[in-house]
Amino acid sequence: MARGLVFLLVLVFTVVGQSLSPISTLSLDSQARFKAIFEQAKPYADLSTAHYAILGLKLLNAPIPQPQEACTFLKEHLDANSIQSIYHATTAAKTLGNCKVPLSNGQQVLNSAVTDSSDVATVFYAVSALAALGLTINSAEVAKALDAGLKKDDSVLSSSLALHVASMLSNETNVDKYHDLIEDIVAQADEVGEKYLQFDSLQQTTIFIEGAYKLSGVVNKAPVISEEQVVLLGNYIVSRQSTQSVRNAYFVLSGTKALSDNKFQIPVAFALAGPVAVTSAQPSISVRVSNLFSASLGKLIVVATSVQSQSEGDTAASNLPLSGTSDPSIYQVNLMESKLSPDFYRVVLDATPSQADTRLIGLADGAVTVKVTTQVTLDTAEINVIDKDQSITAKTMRVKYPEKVTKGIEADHHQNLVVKFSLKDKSGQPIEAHQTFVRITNVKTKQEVIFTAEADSGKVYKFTLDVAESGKEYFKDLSGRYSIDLIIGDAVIQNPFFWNLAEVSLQFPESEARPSLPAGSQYKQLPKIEHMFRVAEKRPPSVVSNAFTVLVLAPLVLLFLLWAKLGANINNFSPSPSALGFHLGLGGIFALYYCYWTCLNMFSTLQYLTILGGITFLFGNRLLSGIAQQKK
Amino acid sequence: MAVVVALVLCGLLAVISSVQGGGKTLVLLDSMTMRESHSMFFKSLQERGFELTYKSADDPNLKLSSYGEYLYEHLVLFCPSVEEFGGDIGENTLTDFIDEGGNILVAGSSDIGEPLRELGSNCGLEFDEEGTSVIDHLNYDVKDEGYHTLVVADSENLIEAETIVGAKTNKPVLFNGVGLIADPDNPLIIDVLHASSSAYSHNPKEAVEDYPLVVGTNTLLVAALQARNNARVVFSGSVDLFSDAFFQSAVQKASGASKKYPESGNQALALAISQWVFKEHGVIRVSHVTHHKAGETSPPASYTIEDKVEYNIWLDILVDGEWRPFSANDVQLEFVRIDPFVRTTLKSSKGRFSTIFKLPDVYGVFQFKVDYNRIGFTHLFSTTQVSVRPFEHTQFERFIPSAFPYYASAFSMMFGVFVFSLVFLHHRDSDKSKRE
Repeated sequence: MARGLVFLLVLVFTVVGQSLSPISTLSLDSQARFKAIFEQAKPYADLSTAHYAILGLKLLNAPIPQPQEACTFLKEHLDANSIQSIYHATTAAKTLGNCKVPLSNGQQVLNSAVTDSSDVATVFYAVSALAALGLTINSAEVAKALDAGLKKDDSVLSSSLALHVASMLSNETNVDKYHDLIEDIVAQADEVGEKYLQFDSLQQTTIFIEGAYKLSGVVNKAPVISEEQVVLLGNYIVSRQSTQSVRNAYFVLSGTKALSDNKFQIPVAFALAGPVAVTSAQPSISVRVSNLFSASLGKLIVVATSVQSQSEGDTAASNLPLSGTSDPSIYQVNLMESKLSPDFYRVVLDATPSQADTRLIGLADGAVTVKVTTQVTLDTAEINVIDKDQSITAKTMRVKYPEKVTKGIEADHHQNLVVKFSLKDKSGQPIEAHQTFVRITNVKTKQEVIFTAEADSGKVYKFTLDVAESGKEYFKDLSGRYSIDLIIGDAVIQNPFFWNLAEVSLQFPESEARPSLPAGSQYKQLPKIEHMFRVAEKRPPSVVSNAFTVLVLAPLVLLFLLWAKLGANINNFSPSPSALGFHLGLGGIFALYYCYWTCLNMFSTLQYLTILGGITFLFGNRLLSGIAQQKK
Repeated sequence: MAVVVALVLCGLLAVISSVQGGGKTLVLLDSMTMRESHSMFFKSLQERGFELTYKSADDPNLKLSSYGEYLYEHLVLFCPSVEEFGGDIGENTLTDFIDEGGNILVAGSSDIGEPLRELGSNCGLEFDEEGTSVIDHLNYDVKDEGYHTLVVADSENLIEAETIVGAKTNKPVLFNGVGLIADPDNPLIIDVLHASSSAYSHNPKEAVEDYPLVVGTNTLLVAALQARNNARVVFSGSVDLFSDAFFQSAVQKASGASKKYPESGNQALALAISQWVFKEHGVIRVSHVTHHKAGETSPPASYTIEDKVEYNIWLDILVDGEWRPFSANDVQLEFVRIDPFVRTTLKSSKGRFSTIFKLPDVYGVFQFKVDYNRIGFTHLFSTTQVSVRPFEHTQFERFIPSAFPYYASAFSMMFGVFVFSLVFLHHRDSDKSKRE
């Protein structure tokens, strides 16, 4: 029971202890980036941008580039009828110094804006502008207008603005009731994941923080915000430091400033300022103990109360004092002197200011995580080829780091390939590493397969490759030369390495498996295809056909020869229409046959034939009957 | 009438708006602060005309579609740790969105939630489990926080596809997040950026006992999917890859005396990837197709085998929201009857791709087919059907030398009949014989 209670108490303390330390601070990099953002805001887009850029640079203590130009911009863009515009212009002009915004009847315009009917924002603008112009503020009037405004709208933003207005009122005015608002407002903030406390927007959160501390400063009474709430609000503001806009950069900056420079509550952040790794070459850790602005908190005595190993959970060292450095916010301690084994460690830190400062929050139990690293050595690796059936070692080879064996190791599918090695740290102790991989790469295709080597109880790593099985599963049964690499790495190893230790030839069982298409082949150009035209059949030599052509033409020649001998003639021919018609018709029919052979189709041929045939028939009939009559 | 005109105008406007770059985009975030931590990326999207709507991923009023119409063309899911989407986005909403042609950019991180892992597995990619990170003890950046999870991916590990990853640079990419592995049977997955051989994915705080899910060069850091409907999805294991911090960070590998790069390649990569995934790059289309016999201008009713045919196809590519002539030297035409008979590369000039080729000596119904599928480009597919008939009888060879005896006998016979008829009908016996 008592034990349980103690545990609970410890738990409570750790939770509180963790939450009381900010997660991070506004880094110097971000501050430099903000400065660049503000400087590059020129030419200003509008009056509010100019306002935020100028005020932002002022917060960073940076000079404002070309202040006269900026002043001219303010003068030109001032809209004397808009209270908000006057607010931006006058506040920015005041920050610039040496810049007077032309406002003939400023007092009158601004005073007339402070009435019972105006909202809190207008009152805030008017009062701020009056303050910036150095004009008198009628506190009673303002307080009245403020009360009326709050009655109409008591949202977070208007209440927060009321804090600002109240802080500007004259000393005689009683502003305690506004100071009491702080508690109500902060109660409305949303907590996100026990990390952040925020209102709807960055602007609201910043305006609230600024207003709360400003007013508390004026009445000299601590604001009713718990320390945890302060830290969470700070976390939220700082978490927005990645912003790129002028407006938000200004709000991050002014919110951070309000939390690092006030009379009541300043969160203290512990952060690593150097590398996370502790090595023999760099045995110290540097811790930045600062406010949210990454600035020094004055002289502190910083002690590492405990150094806890993260894997074992035990405390490896305790009460190590940190020494200051040339940078007043950075403190150092040599962790190597405590002889820590390689691991991640949580270093719990306490800081004590040399002069007691009640403003500082979270001086105890700040924590940073560091790792202690080591050099790892691997002397020799042993490669064995073992027969699977008889478990006989067929071949053993030792390879010294970083040499490479390229000859003599062969394994086929009846054998196993075994690689053994062990890792040692600097002191010669065997250690385990997070990554102990064996990579086997096909020398030709460059296809790689990675296996893990496993350690036995003696921390000796062993990797067994069943050649037959792995061939099927990983290597597509592609026999050939493979190179073996060891990849050793771990977060706490300083010298992770990649060792190509051997080239072996692996003989896989023959298989029918077709090599699959390489990935992405569907995106490649396809091979060209040219159609193979049918090759013409081989023809007999033309001599033969020519000879036979002559032979078949011979009868015609013979006919003419014999006719010549016999004295054939056509003396009876009279060019009568019927004779001409018949012979021309007959010749035409033969000519038509030729055309049919070469170019006409059946249908047109039949058409022509009907005409030609008809004519030939008629003329033929007349010719023959004429000849017959002649012969009688 | 007026209604018709209005409808036509609406149609035209719809076409124009879908062509132009940009479009309505829903950005789902883990927390609104990401608007600032990733502002450079979002700003570049806005400058390119995208209308961004930022929502928290668990916003109860989320909806992608209203009355069956999608409200957004693109989605950016920078919400790695979401355990359940708010509003109407259920299990299949996102896959339906992809099926309807929507494009998604997804980024994970080491605390990746179930909905994104599920979307990944629906697209053929597996995110490693929650709590794991890609670890590379040999290639980690000097700014690493101890566990070697701030991985430096060399530019050689990027895919060689300018449309997806932009012009080649030697700037390495910073990555911090969860590893991905591709389903080897899914041919649509594109490995955009992979880790080096020494990388693996595991919980950095736990010892490696089982074989890690993703190891070596199989570890995908950024992967893309172009679905068959040309919807594009990009998965990045790291949402930080798109962050301002990584954009502006210098890169130097921690091991040994590595070269220091003043600038990471993240910004260029993120820009190129977003241009690709939201269809600003690599979008091509067929403008029109013509084909005819060589030397003619209009297509015949049907082609004859062994004809010389000219084929032209005009392709356009979308550049800055306008269709411009596309140029490439690897567009191929296939002349297909079930199987391709001819496959030839088209010559390109000012968006016109053409070739002249001889039709095969096989008749049937064929298709001119252009199937252009290249990494980074939308899939282009065009077919035109034509019929090819055999020779007419007159188109065969008329005078074969070997057959000359046949022609000679036929023609000599015809000539003989003609001459014989003349002689036979008009012969007059000589006076001498009469006298005899």
